[in-house]
Amino acid sequence: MSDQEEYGKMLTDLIQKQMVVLGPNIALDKARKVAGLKVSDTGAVLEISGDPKLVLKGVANEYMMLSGQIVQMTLNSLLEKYPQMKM
Amino acid sequence: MRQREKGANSRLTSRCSLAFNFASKKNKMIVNILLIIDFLMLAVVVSAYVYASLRERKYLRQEAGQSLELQQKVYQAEVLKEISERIGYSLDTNKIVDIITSSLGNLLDYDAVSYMVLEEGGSPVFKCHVQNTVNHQFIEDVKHKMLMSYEAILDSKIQSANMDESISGNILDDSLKVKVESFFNLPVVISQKLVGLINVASKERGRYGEEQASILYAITNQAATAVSKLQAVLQSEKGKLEAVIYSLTDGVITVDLSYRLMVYNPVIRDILGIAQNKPLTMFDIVDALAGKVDLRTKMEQAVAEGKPIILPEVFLKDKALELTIAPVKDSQGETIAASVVFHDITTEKTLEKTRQEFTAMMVHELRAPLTAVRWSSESMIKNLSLASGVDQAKVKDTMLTIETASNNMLELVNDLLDVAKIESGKFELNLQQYDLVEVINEQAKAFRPQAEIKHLSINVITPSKYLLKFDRVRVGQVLGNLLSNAIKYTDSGQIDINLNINAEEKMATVSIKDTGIGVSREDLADLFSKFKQLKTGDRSRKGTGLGLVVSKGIVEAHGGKIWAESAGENLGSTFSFSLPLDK
Repeated sequence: MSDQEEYGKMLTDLIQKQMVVLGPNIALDKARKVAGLKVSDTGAVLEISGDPKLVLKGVANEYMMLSGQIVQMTLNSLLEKYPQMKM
Repeated sequence: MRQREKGANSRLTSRCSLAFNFASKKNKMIVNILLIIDFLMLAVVVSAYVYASLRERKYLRQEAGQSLELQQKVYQAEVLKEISERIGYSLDTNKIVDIITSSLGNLLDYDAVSYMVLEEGGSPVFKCHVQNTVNHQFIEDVKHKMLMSYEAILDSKIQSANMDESISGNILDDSLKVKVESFFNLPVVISQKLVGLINVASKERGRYGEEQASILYAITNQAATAVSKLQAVLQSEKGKLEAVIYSLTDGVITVDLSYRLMVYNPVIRDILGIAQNKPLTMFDIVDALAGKVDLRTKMEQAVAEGKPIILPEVFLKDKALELTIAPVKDSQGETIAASVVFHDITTEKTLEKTRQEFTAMMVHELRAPLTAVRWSSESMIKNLSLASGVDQAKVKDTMLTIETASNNMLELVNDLLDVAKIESGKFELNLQQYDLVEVINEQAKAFRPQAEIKHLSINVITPSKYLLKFDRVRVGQVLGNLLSNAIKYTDSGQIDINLNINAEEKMATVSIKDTGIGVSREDLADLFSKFKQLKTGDRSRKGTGLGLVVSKGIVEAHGGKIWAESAGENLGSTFSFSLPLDK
């Protein structure tokens, strides 16, 4: 699996988890604010253009602006699931 | 001619027509140019006007935007202020979440606003305020979404079977065909811990955008941060208080008004004999006191009466305790908790018992010679009044008995006075350079007759002379006490007196070694204690034990040490004392 696909999977997991945690509208609005990322209404990543690491950082930052602690909590479990991913 | 004229006219006409056409074309061109200029000028004017209008509109929009932003900020500040005032100094996270929820509801339109918190045991509490009528399913959906969110954050399953639910506000109408079309959750994190989840839900699709939610998140986060800071300060203060409680030698517990254990120090486990390996609960404490004190009832009584209750003596296994049960009040005088102080009075009680025994022993010690004096006096009076005349020998014997009894009493009283002086720090020494060997020999000589009665020999193993600065009378008293004891507790064998000089430690050590009954290991520690005496069943050997106490006082006043050694009962003993060389 390429890096792009890996990041896409992790981003999908992150967005879908935030949809459950925060609510779908806010989670999607926040993700869609990040340049280089296209997301479906289900939270699945459709396209990443550019550096996927920067996109992931951008999405995480958007959620951090809402609630840093919660993102930390949810990101920890995701980073355990994707140990090769770096932010 | 006519034709020529006609032709000429026609040419003229045609020339005129050409000229006119030319002139007309020229005019048209000029008009057109003028029109174009006019149009261009008009376009410039219109453009300038449009540009100016647009700029003005943009400026006005910006102004309006800034004003709205300012209004929002003012409103946020007001909501935050309201939340802060309502929270006050509370650390009750459930109450804090409840306050934030009810304040946020004022900021935006919603059909239901809810919050969920977890109780201590992990079971959830769900509270919902219905603003506009919805159906039961709507509430169930909200609850489900909140549970899912909670579980996703904690990454663990929540047992929702025993959920404590309450719904307030508008009535629910199941005939309504509505469902949750838009919602968002606001996690409340205080001191890095998720303490609750707030949900705002609407039956209208797309009601909440990111902008609205962000404002609520900002307010919630600021309120949570303020509470976290307050918690940190209070935690630090609590830590200081706990450190004080931890350092106390008395056992201390504090319980809330539901009688749940809030604070305790480790000493409590030792005092009540509770194992260290598990968390302490109120049940452990109540269990440890079972049959002795009904602690719960006493705490209730103290709280109800608003004043402390003191239980002066509670005997627990091998311990005696004094319990002080007091209500804990806040700055407004409201009772908020109860505390119990467990003061271990075992030592005091033991000391009191020993003191009583000592007093009884001293009374007995004084009574015996006093009785002897009384009987002797009576006997002498009878003898003096005898018609047959005074029996001189009997009178002398009686007088000797009186003298011995008086000396015994005086010795006892002197010992008591010495002890009193030592204890009050008024013991004075007359320090001068003397020969320590000479003093040892004097005492050995004085006690030899007493030793010979029991067929004991006293051997002095010392250098021929050793000069030292000490109080001759008092050191002689110490030697006398130790020799007297050695003779008293030895039935056969010998008593050796040794003098050793340790130049390295700069100490002169005198040892009196006997072959007597010895001292048990447990008695060794108490030998020099005021209220202790050797445990011997033989009454003839019994003494007050004050001699050793006085000896200890004298040696220590010299800056020396006194100690006893024994291999065990009937294995003899060695009493030694050391005096500093450079006194």
